[in-house]
Amino acid sequence: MERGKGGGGYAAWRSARIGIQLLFLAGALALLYLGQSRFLVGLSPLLGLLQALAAGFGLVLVSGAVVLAVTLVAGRWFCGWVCPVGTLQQCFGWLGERVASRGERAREISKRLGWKYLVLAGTLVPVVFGVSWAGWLDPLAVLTRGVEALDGLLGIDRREDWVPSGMLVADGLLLLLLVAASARWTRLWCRHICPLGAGLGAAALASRVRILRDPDSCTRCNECLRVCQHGCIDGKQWFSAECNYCLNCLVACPTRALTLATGAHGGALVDRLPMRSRRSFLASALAGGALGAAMVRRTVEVRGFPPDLIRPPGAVPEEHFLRRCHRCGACMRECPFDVIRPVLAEGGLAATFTPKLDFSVSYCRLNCDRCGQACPSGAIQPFSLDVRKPDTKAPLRVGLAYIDVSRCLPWAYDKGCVTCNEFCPTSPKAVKLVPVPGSDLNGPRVDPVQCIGCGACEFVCPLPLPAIIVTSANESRHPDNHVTLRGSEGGVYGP
Amino acid sequence: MDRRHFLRTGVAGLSAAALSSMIRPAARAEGIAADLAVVRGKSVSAAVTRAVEALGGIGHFIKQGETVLIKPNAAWDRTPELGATTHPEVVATLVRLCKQIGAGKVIVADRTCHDAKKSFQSSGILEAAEKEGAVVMFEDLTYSARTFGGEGMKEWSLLDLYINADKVINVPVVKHHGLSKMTCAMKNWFGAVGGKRALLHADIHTTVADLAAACRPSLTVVDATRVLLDNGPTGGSLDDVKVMDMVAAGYDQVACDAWACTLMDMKWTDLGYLKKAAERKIGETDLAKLKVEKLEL
Repeated sequence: MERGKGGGGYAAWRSARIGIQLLFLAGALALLYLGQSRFLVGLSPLLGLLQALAAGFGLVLVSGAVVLAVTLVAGRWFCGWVCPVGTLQQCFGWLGERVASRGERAREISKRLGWKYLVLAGTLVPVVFGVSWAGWLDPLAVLTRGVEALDGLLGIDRREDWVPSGMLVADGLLLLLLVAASARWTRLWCRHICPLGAGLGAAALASRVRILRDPDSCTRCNECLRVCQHGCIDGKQWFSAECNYCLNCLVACPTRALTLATGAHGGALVDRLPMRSRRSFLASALAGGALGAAMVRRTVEVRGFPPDLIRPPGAVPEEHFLRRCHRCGACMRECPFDVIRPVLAEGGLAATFTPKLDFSVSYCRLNCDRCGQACPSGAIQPFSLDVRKPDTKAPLRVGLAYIDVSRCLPWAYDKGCVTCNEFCPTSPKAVKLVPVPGSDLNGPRVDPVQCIGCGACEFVCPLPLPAIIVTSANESRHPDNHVTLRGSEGGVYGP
Repeated sequence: MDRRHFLRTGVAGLSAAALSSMIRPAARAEGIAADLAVVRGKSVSAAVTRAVEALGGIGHFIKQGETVLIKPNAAWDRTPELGATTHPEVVATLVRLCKQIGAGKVIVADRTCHDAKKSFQSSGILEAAEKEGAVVMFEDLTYSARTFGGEGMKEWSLLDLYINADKVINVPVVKHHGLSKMTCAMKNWFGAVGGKRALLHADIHTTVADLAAACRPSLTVVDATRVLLDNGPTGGSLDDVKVMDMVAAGYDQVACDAWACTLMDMKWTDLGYLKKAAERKIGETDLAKLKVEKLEL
């Protein structure tokens, strides 16, 4: 049978859908490349809502709220028309079908559509304990982090001395895999994993915009299932929670048995989530909750102040940071010096994919406030450049450098070296030079009040394992961690 | 041994010691010109012009059609008033003088410590030099291995722009440095070498002397318009900066450093690399032996 013969005007709508998808994909990339990542992440109601709940305050980003409202009224259009990760998968699924030229594929509605609801459940419940890892798998966060990683790995739009680091490479691979897999299994991510899709799917149950099937003219040819990348419709059933209104089925139906309409049940409609059982959903929710509780305990109560967890300047205290941070990577994306990288487990499991300053790849510059501007969640607060002036009396500190005199060239090997002192950006310098006993040389010593933990010294130390290392001590956001500061020397505390 | 003889033997000895491609000594102008001209004045542009005139004019150093490399100190992402980088007007004036005399390509380049573009932007050098028609180069700089044949530096990589230029003008800024006490003309060549520069600090006085022996500019113009007296080489506070409104120009970068250290209340004997320069006859450290012209604008 000839495709596109049916449709009754739906072909034009489908073209519009494709145009809008490409527009939003271009828009998403524009945001990522023009320094406005926060607005892309803001599109996700999952991040906005869950993170707001976890943080215990009412921050729901307006754009995310609009997405949610549209879904409640009209269904899961976001996934099919707006989501750039959906569009990427749609493109590759389309290409995959053509390149593989598998022709007509006998398919059935996936038995595993319910997986993503388990993912969502496991994400929802930990919110009770004040932690949400929605950002691990939220498509807009995955896209932001993935583009940041691939950009660096491919050498696009990055500094020439960009260095890959563990978790960022994982981010790049995740995005690559996700898109590549869609060429073989169309919209694999959307159908089985995406917690945002699951959340919108659940919201879509309230919608009255439906695809109706006329049982009299339907011939059960299943052409609708063949063209549906999401696999949510066949001759017998249609899942309202799964449909992303790509309109392919409406255009392809040879007998015009399908129509888009508002209103009552249309014969083939399945108005429930494609779950195997309620029991598995509950089990997943409980498992997620238990894991969440354990994570928070391990992180906040037991670990104290991890020495290698140097948060960006402007970061709120850790307990609040973990609740607020979207794990979206907007700060990493916007950092002009690529010093912000994703955490693996330095801050406990709950901190995975949150940002830290990695001084093995770069260092934090004093005349920069981009991360504070870029953060959509309030985990990193905007900060004034006044607290970053080299000679300010109230600096914003992220950590404190210490010198390992058993490795440091002048101290340990009687070799002249001055690099840490040279690069130290504060005035007076936090890394001073003092006479080394028994030698003609001067060696570095850290002034614990001047040092702000920018990491320039650690980055430029010529030794492969630096002899000067920054730990989280003295960070402004944690007065309890001010090990070498007293009273007024503490400067500004985290906002 | 008179001064001229001293200089001549010094130059000849060095020519033998280092690769000929790296040495471009300028013959001293006969008659009127000074060895070192120090000009004090509020107008940076006028001071630079006057100092170069006192040495015999830019035409004495640069010929028509020649490719000129101007090497400022643009190492740090700092604004001009903080004294961590060469004053943009000093660089711009030299570009203008070269262009006026009919130089071919005038290149301004430095290997910075902070991010290259930011450093060139913040220092004001990028905008000022480009406005006068210079090609400002700081990204994708290339280096080639060279035999330095120094006391400490045997082989090291050197900026290709330096190797390929017909004439080189060294345009340092005088300022405090934690390890070498002062950085000015001789140490400015740290910005013209490749490789892992941090390793050159191990014996910095020998290294700076080796660099100055190998990298010999046709002309050196020292920016002492404002001098960072402490917390160098980065600075960051105006409290450490003293406005001096001075510019010096000289044939001999060693003499330039010997003069510059007096601004920081030091004698040349206080600086290890100047003592080495004197021992190895890389240049003249005794200002009394030179014709120093001091001018007020």
